[in-house]
Amino acid sequence: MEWKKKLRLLELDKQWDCAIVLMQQVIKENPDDIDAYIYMNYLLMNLLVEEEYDQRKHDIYASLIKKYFDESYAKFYNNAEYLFCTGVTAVMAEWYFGIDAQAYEAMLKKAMQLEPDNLVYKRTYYMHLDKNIPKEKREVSSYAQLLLQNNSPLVESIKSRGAFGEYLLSCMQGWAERTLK
Amino acid sequence: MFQKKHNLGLLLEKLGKEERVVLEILKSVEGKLPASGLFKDIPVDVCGLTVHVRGMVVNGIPRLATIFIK
Repeated sequence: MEWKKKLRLLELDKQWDCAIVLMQQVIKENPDDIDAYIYMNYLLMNLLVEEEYDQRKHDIYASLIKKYFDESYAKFYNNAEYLFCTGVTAVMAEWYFGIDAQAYEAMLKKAMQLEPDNLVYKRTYYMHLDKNIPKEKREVSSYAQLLLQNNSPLVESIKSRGAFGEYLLSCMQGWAERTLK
Repeated sequence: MFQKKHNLGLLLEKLGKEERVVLEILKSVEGKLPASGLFKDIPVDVCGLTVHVRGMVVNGIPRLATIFIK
């Protein structure tokens, strides 16, 4: 079974330590696989921030996330997909990566600059528009509507990114609903 | 932080903006956090709703990781 499917099953079953061991092995075997690092960083961040776990293991998970963030950033700091996904993950609790808000905002901005036509990365642009300016409000509304359309290419593209994609879609659709209210 | 599963819709309706929710929570947790390190599922009252807060005190500053209503 492909590693992404195995990982998803372990995540759904909340077998966090098994999921971490799987991803450590995947990264060991594929040290240049951007997806492997993106999925690992999100797995650990989600565990630390959102899930229930034995608190005595906190420092172990915290040191692992720092290690994998440092390692991956050194390798992929110029890759738009990596910068976007890792920037979004960092927003959850950037201190685990050892960075501040300015650093993750720079990552999100750089992803957009590297691929200006990528609609997913342009989320950063739309979220910062001012809804009190009519032209900007129209742009924001149009993007929000696209996010709430079932089967739109934008939504499908986000969904294809595993647990990270589900998290991102939940955040973006929540934002879209609030925006259109 | 503002995922659907966190049930923050009513709180957002009451306070209007995400920024205000965060500010109100930060006010409510004052005096309830450790001097440093992790804090987990601290219940606070915001606008009559019990919100649970997780995060970390970093260099004396409380940082919110997640907030949710059960």
